[in-house]
This record gives sequence, structure tokens and C-alpha cells, in this order.
Amino acid sequence: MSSVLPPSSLHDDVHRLYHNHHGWLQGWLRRRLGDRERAADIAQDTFLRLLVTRRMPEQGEGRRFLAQIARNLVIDQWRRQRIEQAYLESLAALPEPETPSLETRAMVIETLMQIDAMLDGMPAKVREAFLLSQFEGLTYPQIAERLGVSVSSVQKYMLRAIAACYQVLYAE
Amino acid sequence: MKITQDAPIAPAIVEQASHWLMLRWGGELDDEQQRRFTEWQAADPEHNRAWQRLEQLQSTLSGVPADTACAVLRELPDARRRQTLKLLGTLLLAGGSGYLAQSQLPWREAMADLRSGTGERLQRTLADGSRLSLNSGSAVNILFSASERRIRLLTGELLLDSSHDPAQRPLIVETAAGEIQALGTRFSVYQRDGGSQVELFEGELELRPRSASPLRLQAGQSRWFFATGFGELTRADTNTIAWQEGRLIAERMPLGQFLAELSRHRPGVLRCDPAVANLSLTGVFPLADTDRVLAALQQSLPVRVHSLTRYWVTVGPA
Repeated sequence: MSSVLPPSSLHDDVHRLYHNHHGWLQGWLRRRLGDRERAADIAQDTFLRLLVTRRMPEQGEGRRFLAQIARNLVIDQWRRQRIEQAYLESLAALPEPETPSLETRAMVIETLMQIDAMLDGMPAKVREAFLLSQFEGLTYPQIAERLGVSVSSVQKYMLRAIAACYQVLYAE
Repeated sequence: MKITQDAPIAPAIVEQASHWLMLRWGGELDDEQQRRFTEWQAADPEHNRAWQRLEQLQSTLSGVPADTACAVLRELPDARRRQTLKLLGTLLLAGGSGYLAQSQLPWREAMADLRSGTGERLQRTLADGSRLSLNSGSAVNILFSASERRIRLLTGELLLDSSHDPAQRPLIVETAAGEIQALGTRFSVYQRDGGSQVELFEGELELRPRSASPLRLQAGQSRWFFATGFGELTRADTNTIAWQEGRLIAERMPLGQFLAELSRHRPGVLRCDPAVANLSLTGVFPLADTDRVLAALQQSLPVRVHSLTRYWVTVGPA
């Protein structure tokens, strides 16, 4: 559905796509999000993403391709909002002096986004085993007991978890 | 957000490296395993490269304090995360050529999904003429078929003015706690504390928890229910649905409760110092400008509003 282009023809192509589909994309987003400003922002980011990734749609696939990028951007935003909210709530439980700086918070949120994307690629039991191992410090036998499965199943879960993490960090 | 790419690594090698990481996460390697691991690493530069990538993964995971990760990632339970993603997926994927036909319905029923952001309130007329309102931060799926009219409340709060259906299909609101069947009514449902708070203003309802016997509710009654039972019966309070008109009404409401309610309508954290949580408050407040509401509090109560940022506000003693 797409191909990577050298920068010179890339700009022409993005320009052409922008000319042909920007209005459509913005309208499409506006109808779906019910928010004119947000639709405009996301349409803009969609074309920016094209320039950054240097991927272009095949002939005739333009709108489908743009819609797919826009959709991913919206989902990312939505996830970020959820994660920020949950993070701020978890901080609210801390006494004021322990509140981390804005920079630290931004970095933690970024990392949480990444981990959340990893979790999203895992089936429920795999995710549970992964969380228990990595964030609650349980051993494999303890996890096995908690989940009511064998230790060798836990090892299989962990392999799947690692595969899901790798996918997020390194897959194209 | 992805790590800078270099050449891809053969999947078989990644798999071997993953195996070693899995063993290490399970505990210390014994001498024999350690020897074989060192051998494996030295056997091929690609092995080492794969291992470095997994070490990068490890440092990502340790970039967040464990208790924070637990609190936040557990806050996004499987079902909710997937549901919201799916919700958006359908919302954005639907459309294209189907759009024109859909736009002739009272609203785009076929898209079936509706959500309101924080601070946003929505109203829609459904295909059967019922009026659906969503409070801030709410999401529903609308599943109308030939045999029933079903509204699935995924999160937040809705108010429904149900209309008579010529096809006589039952109208059902489904929540995590169970089902609510409407019999020509006006009522609201708020998902909170793992259950559903139902306020009935007109008509009659049947509450059907997932695993407890059903119960009828009469006009003017309010009840909280969860999957396995019911809370106490109380009087329905029309002040609770003032959000539909963009207002928050307080009648001798404790400040703590008032701020909890207000925080549903603004992003970020709004905290109430326990020292002032029991101050009583009466008034009608516009939800459209919660900053102004907070400023107004300082004039009418002995409190001070501390804003670290717009997203981090604490109300404490003056």
C-alpha cells in the first residue's frame, strides 16, 4: 500500500496529496470527531507524518492511506489522554513535596505510552504474567500459582510478552 | 517514539535472545547457563546486537517507578482499554461511501458509537425519537436491531428520555453491572464505583444485575446497583442531571463532593484539602467555565485555590 521515496519527489507528492485530499480529510475527521479544531489539527499532523516517515500511498489509495494515519493519530491522542489522567491521579495520592517535576512527568508519560502499546499487543494472561513479573517483582513460580498455570506456561507467556515488546520497539 | 532503526535482525536470532532474557527475568542463571549464554553472545555479532536491543527494552521498562507503572497500567484494565480503542476504531473506520446514506438518519446511527470528551456534553435524537444526553467523559454503543433497542454505557453518565417505539421493541441500557429496561421513562445512569447509579424521574424501570434477581424502580426513586446486588433506595434528585443544561446545582453540598463532581468536567487533577471538604455550598454553577467556578469559590467560601498548572489544582483553607 505504500513505498518509501527520496526527499525531492516526496515534497511534490505530499503537496499533490495535500491539494487533492486535505479538505476531504478534514471534513471526514470533523464528522467523526464532532470537533472542528481537533479535526484541523489532526489533518495537519497526518500530512506532517507523511513527511517524517517518507511513506507514500500507491496510486488510488490516497484517501484510505491518509484515513489510516489519521485514525492512528486519534487513537494515540486518546491513549495519551487516558494515561496522563491515570498518571496524574496516581500522583494525587502522593504528598505535595514528592510531586515530580514537569520534565520527569513528561518522560514518564512517554514511557508509559510505550509500555501501554506493548501491553496492547499481549493476550490477557500474557499481560498479567508480564505485569506481575516486571512491576510487582513476582517470581515465575509465584506467577504460576497466582494464574493457576504451570511454570513452563509462565515461561511461554513471558516469551510472548518479550515478542510483543520487541514488536513495539523495533518493528517497522 | 520508535527507536532509531538500523538493519533488521533475523527473527531466529531475536527469538534466541528473547529466550535468554526470559530466563534472566526468571532469576539468576546457573553457572552452566551463564557459560552457554556467554558462548552464544560471542558466537556472532548479530547475537550481541539482538541482545543490546533487548537491554534497551529493559531500560525502557525500568524508566518508570514500579508502583507508578502498576497504578497507571492497572488503571487501564483490559476491557476498558480495548473497548475504547475498538470504539474509536469503528468510529473512524466506518464511513467512506456509506456516509451519505447514513447522514439522512436522525443522526449517524449506523456508526453506532458516541463519546464525549472531558468537559464536553452531547445530545442526540435516536432513530426511535428517544433523546440521549451524555455527560462529560462518557461513551456509549448504540445497538438497535429489529428486536430491541440497546444502549451500552461503556463509561460515564447518560440521561435518556425514552420515546414510544411503534415497533414495540424493548429499550435496554446495558452497563458493567447489568441491564436496565425502560418502560416509557426519563432516567439517568452513572457508572461509578464499579456499579451503576440509576435516577428515575418518570415512568418505571426494571434493574437486572448480572447475577442477582431483578428489581423494579418507580418514578422518583434512585438506586445504585452492581453485578451482584443493590444499594439503598433513595429519592431521585433532579439536581443530578443539571449537567444536561450545562449546570452544576449544589444544595448544601459538601465542598469535597462538589469538587469531585466539578472535576468530571475538567481535565487533570482537582484536589480538595480534607480541612475544607465539609464546608457546605449552595448555588448554580456553569460547567462551561470551570476556571471561573473555582475563582468564584474563593469569594463565597474561606478557601484558596492553588494552581500548580491548569491541570493541577488544589482547594485548601484560605
